[in-house]
Amino acid sequence: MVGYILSVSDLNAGYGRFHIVFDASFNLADGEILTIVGPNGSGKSTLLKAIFGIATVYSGLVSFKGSDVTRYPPHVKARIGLAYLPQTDNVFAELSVRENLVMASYTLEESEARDRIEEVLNIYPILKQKLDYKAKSLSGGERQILALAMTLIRKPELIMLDEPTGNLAPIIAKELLKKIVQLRDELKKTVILVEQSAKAALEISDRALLMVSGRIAYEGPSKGLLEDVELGKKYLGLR
Amino acid sequence: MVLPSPEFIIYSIAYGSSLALLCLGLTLTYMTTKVPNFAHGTLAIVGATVTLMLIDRVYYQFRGDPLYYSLYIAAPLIAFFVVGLVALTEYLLVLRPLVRKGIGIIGLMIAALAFDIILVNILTMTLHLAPSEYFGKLIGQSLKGFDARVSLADITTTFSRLAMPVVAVILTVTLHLFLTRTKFGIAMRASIENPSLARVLGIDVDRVYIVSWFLAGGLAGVAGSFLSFIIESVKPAAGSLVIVSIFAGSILGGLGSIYGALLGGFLVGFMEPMATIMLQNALSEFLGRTVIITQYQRLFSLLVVIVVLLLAPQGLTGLNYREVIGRVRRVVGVG
Repeated sequence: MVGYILSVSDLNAGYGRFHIVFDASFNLADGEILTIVGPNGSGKSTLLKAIFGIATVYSGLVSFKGSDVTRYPPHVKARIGLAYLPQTDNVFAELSVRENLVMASYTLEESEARDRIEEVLNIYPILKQKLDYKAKSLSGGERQILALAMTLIRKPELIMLDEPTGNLAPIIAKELLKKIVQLRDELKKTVILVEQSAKAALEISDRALLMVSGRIAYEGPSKGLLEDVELGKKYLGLR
Repeated sequence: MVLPSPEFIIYSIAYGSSLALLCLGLTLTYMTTKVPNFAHGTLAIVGATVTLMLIDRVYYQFRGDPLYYSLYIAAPLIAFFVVGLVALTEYLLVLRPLVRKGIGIIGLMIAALAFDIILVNILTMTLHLAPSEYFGKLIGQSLKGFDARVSLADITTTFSRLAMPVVAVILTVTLHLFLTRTKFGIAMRASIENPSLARVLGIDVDRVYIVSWFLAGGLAGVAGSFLSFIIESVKPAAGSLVIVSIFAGSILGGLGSIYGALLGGFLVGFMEPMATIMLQNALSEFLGRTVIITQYQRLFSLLVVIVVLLLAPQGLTGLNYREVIGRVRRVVGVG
């Protein structure tokens, strides 16, 4: 397990009695982007939620930087360096952009929180002009950037993004994917990405994981999955 | 048509102000636990009872003395803390354990009703079984005679009726500043809007709910303290009457916005006596004899509930004002 920032072994997870993810195992090295793809209902989001502690883990192991964190509740995982960005409702719509950022830095000391907010505003300057706007008045792309900024405030080492480009116009989705590459290349973060628009996401990733009916059907370099005509055609709509 | 007197308008403003605070509290608790707290009216009566006891045991002897005016600070303040704790008890001992067990909304509503009945019985026992040397003199009596009278020009009113709107404005501004300028206040708004995201960010949502319930109870205590001078007599079961108006104001406000609750509460509280007295005057004039309908005052609130739920279930805060203004403009032929 040493050398990997995240290791998942034989993970079985779901919601209550609904067993969704079966025997999932994979490793993720520091500074990589891993994209999880697969058809609707294949368990992609559940796998992410199980890693973060939101879905129920029945058995298996989640190891972060060599420590077993399988049973840690989400707020503890958030404190030790994991971040999870939900697919929807990932910002407080009724709060202003500034208030959202203050909430993202809730557990930090005031001076540290101020510095971190300043840092993320420098990374995403578009938010500087909208600090007093309510989040609900932002466009879909701006909202996702705010959500990313909120995630970054805690300086997480591993960021898990659940369909961040869902419901976005293609041009905005492309811009957002560039921001995700920026997370890896400039901020040296490790990213797990769950995506519906498989091709664009796989193109920016280092590794890929294909899930089919709750099981991992492919695990390896994303280039390998992009070039696998049979899997691509069958499960990802790629030609 | 005979219009209401200035004294009656002042009374209506005072009643509207106290109802605004009560609706604010009900909405705050509804937004956190998603259960309409049927005990909220009785919480106000606990505040009224605290005031009654305070007059009975302490202030009775100071009537006519300038010191008597300190009652208007001491009573709401003590009521704030006492009723805040009672509301907190309801949340911690009754509702929170049920929410954690996954009990649905129907179960929670029945639990809130049960707590209301228990509270009424505790109040009854406190007032009637306590030795008569304690709290003996005023039980079941009207406190109207214990409200200091104030004369302004030709208008004679009472101190509580002038103080209530001022207190309501001060509390509203304080709460607004708390919710928008403090980190914990913003966390309260965040936790109410999206508790799961708030938890992911490390906010202690349960602590936020605890503070919300205490605040809601505290505001009910302050409102009840002033209501004790308005209602006919401080009786344990009087909460069942007030709760109708509280629900009407909260539903008019939209049940999802504390600012809507303030507005809805004030409008219902102000209009309930005003509409009743105006209808009474009109009926008396039409029939040529005196007609008394003030005992049916709550019908106005029930009517508000029915109309709002039928026509605008989202309440005032859910209305599309541009559309409404556009419609009005078209009707009056402007723009």
